[in-house]
Amino acid sequence: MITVDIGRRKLSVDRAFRAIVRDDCGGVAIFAGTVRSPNEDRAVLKISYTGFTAMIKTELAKIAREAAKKWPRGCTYLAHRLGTLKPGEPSVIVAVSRPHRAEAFDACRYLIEQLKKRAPIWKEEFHRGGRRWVANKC
Amino acid sequence: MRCETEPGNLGREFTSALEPCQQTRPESIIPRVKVVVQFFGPERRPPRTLVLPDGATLADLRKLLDVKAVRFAVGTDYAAGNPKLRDGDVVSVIPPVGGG
Repeated sequence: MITVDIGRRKLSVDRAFRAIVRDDCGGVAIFAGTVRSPNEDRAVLKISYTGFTAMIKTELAKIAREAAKKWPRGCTYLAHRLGTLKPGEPSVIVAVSRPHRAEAFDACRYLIEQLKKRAPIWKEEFHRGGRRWVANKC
Repeated sequence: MRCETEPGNLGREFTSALEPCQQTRPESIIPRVKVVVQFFGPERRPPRTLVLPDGATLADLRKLLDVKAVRFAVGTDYAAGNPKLRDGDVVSVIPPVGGG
């Protein structure tokens, strides 16, 4: 099963775990990305995430289907928050269950790397006295 | 006022007002595609509606847009290659992404 959750609601690792845990999968891998401060030596006050919601859902579902082909069996959960977040708050959670830990780690890594390359989401970082758009280096 | 079928009139901004060329040649018989272009992130600005000649491609549209984007989407999928645009398409300008 694939779950994609995009919106302004606060993300929860517990919610992610509950979405993917199942009896026939003994490996669960969860990645959470949080707002980091400082970034490149500048204190970050907040980050504003915006996105093309319909396309985020389409693209993340595609990525999840790709992972399901590479590492069959198990569940996938992809969530990204939009809106304004402060340092320490989670902006993204990727969670997978697979029969064994190796597939769980590999699938989780694949999903977050692809999300960062392909999800149509944009990040504007706010500092004291300024702001800037930050693109992923990938 | 130039008509849509004249050379060099690619990408005329759509307006609802009747123009002289449309009064003499009904709009319904002129092959064309009307597309909406939307912008996000660092390229954010109000959406634009453009009327292009029938057979126009994404590359034709791109020449009309002052954007630095390297990727485009048609509907909710990344555009692959240089697709022919269809009437009613929504094209999105996708600047470098920053999710995660």
